[in-house]
Amino acid sequence: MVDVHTDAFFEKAVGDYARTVAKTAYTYTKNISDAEDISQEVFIALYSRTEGFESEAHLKAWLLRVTINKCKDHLKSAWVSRRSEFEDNDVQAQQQEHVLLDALMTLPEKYKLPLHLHYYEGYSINEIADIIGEKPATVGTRLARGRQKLKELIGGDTL
Amino acid sequence: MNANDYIKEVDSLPFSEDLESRIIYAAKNAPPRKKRRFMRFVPICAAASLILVVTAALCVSHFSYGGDALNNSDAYVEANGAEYAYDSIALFDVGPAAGSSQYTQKNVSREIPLADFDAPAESAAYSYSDDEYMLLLSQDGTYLSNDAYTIVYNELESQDYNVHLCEFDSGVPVIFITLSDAQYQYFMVSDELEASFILIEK
Repeated sequence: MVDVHTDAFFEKAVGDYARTVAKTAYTYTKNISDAEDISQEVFIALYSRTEGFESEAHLKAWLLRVTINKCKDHLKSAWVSRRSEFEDNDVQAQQQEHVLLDALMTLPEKYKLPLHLHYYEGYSINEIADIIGEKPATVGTRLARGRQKLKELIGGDTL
Repeated sequence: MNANDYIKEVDSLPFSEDLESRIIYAAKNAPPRKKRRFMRFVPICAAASLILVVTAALCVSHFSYGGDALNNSDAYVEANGAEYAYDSIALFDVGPAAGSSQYTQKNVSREIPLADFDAPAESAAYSYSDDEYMLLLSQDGTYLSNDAYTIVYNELESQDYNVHLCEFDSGVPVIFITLSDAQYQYFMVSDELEASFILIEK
């Protein structure tokens, strides 16, 4: 059992997973600042958590689940919906070299998150199913369809 | 393009150099969220509960007359020593309740089973006193909206009876209580009472 009640644990968790969380958040927000803000919220939640974790894998999966939930809350906020168009243009200008990433972020949420977790975080279909709360078969289907959609978008072999 | 290209792109995202230290500082200096949220919701929940209680009390108060009407039906059963039948016509005296501006059903004058009622000819055959009202009841809520209702309505109206239309909203029966000054109140009836009512004032 991983003890969460020490500063050492918390600082190690931040060091190990802050950027993992931020990168996952970015696939939702398409915005660096928002992704960093969400990362902060996720780790504040971790800091106030009283229950321990069974393992490092459990900790990482919990962080990703909280990240996904906070991203969904973030996208539902009125402020984000009002400013989204302006911000998207700004980010696109900054990130023109990110061909695959930009293409992935145009996909619906149900496709882009499994693709990111599978190809960047290296999670298996079963692990992704556990994190996002779907059946493994559903995740497998979404991965296949997501890959197909990426191929249609940018051509070539893609992922 | 392959998975490695995707990983390189994600790794090149320009996150802040001091992201980790900012997160640690923010977490350690954040107010205790659970307590703060809990304390914030206590007055909100208390206010919401109070509003609900007051609203429920007002609703009970407002609609209690409808319930009383049904209870009066129960009393009517007891008074007559027979099971109350909704598919019947009953004649009621309607007048103000003691100490209240509300009008209430006071007495049952007489009851005529619908089976014995040949509308509209017989409807006009009954004589009414000045404060006597006729209440048509149907068991399935359709009787008053079908042709028979129209016949009764037209017939009675043609004979200068002041008929107050009984309306139905989404199939929920509504009671119209006719007041002496020709105004009326209505009361929603629970779905359990699958009856429709119309009060006809002479």
